[in-house]
Amino acid sequence: MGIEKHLSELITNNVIDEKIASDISQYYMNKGKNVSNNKIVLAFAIIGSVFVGLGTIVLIAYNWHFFNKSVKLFFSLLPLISSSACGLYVVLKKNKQQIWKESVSIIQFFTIGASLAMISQIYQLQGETYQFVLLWVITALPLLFLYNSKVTTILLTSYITYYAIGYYFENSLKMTPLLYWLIIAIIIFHTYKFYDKNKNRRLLKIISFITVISISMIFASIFTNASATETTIIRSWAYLIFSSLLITLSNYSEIIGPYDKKSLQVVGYLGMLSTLITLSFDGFWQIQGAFPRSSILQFNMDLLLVIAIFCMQSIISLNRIKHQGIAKIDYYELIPIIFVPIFLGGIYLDVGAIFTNLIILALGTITIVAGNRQNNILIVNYGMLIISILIICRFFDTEMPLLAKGIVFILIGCGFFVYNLILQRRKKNNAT
Amino acid sequence: MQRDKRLLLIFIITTTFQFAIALYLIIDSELVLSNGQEIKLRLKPVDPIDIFRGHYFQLNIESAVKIENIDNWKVGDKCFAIFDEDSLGFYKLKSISELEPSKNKVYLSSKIMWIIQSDSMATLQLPINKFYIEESKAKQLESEISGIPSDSLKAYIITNYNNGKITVKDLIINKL
Repeated sequence: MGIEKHLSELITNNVIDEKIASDISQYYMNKGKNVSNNKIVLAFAIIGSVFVGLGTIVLIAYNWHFFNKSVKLFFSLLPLISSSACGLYVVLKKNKQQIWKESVSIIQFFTIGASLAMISQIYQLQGETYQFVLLWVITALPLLFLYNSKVTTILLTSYITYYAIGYYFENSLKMTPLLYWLIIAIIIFHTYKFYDKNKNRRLLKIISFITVISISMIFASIFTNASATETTIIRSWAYLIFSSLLITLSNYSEIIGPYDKKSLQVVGYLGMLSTLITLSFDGFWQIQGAFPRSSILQFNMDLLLVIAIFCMQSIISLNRIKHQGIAKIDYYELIPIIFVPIFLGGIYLDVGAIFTNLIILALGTITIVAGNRQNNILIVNYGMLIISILIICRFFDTEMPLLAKGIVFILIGCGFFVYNLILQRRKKNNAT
Repeated sequence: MQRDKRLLLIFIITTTFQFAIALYLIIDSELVLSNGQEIKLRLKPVDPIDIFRGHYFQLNIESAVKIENIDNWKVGDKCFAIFDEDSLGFYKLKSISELEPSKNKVYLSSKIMWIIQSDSMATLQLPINKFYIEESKAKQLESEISGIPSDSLKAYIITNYNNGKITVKDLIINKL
């Protein structure tokens, strides 16, 4: 009860009298109640709708074999008919109340799936689960524009991601799920156009995270030259560029619109860290070395795509340096450029893993220092996480000679001690 | 008022679209059932589950075929699987074709999944692989099948076929 403490202080100092203090206290109590009540109503409406929807799906999945075909057909269309009737009621009577729109949209989303599933059972319609999910998403997509329901956005994004993963793997990583890119573009367009940045921010945050994670996962599907294992190196570079592009974009609030900038940063930083950790294993570069080196940089569509993304990322970063100065640039954004010589060196000279380890160590240290300077414990912890993961990976890395491992560990440890000493001295100097 | 009318219009378009898809699935299947010829295919079923559509039998229809000019094909290529009737009245995969076969043949559009160059054999991904079945019946059938040695298991499906489209009607096990 922070407000009570402040109010009693104001009364003691004769700034306000007791009547005004009690009015203020009453005002905040009622305000808080309304806000939390509304949130609970919305949350319960969403949870309730999801349960009813899922229950319908499970009931349909039961397969009511003892009914004849016409009865089953009637029941197959019943969920769609009844939820559409609810929809009509909401459109005519409750179209200004978001809770109603959210609920009816979720129920309609699931009843569409239920109806399609029951028709599939009756007529033994063939096809894999991911193809069924695609049909479901296409059928449910217009609901977005009808109800502007945020939970439906989340459901559609998750389901279309499921489709894309299924499609890409079913086609042995050789075909891009174009329909995924089309539908995710429609979903993103809808979010930009119809969602207010300042309303219902919690759900918008979830939408942001799910969309960014989905795109990061399916990003790999733009590469279709799966037969050439040697192109893994190209894909790793592509992921570094993509992650740094996310970090760069998070600085442009006019571009990211209603999306949460933290989602781009978190996915960007973690994506970059996981790619770098993969590259820090010597085994990764050894596999690349098993192929004719010239074939790694042979001209194909994958390489062309990566170069295009690299140029785009570099232009944006250089433009930012030009206008805002190098100090404003996040050093993570420069990793793809720094990696050009490392990749080339790694392919031809077997030094890729060593340089990647050095880069991760440098990144971790810079992050800790930056966090310390900004007094931000989250950034410091992220830097610690980077170095901890690096230590764990190297400690259990059986390919590294024990002698080298011991010396490197001691040297790095000493480095941190020295840095600590310098820091303490600087602090003392500043104090005097 | 204007906004309400617009919302109602979007509602009508959305609902019509959703019902159109559901009705298309029904009518398309009904057309194959009413106009198609009945064909039988041998198989070895197993029982997995689909999270949305419930229990089904994975049909495992014989999908390996010998191809003469194997070098012209690669994994992932689309093709038409052509079936021929044997002396017992069952349809068996005979060959594949790049072009759509004539209407008097029984064919299904499919995809090449595996190629064994040395044997000139290709395994196809056929568009029929599922038979949806009620939960308890699926378990009962599964335990029945597991008791039969795979050599003596005789199972087939009855389907309706019409111009490259197929609808599964029934699954028959050990009643040959």
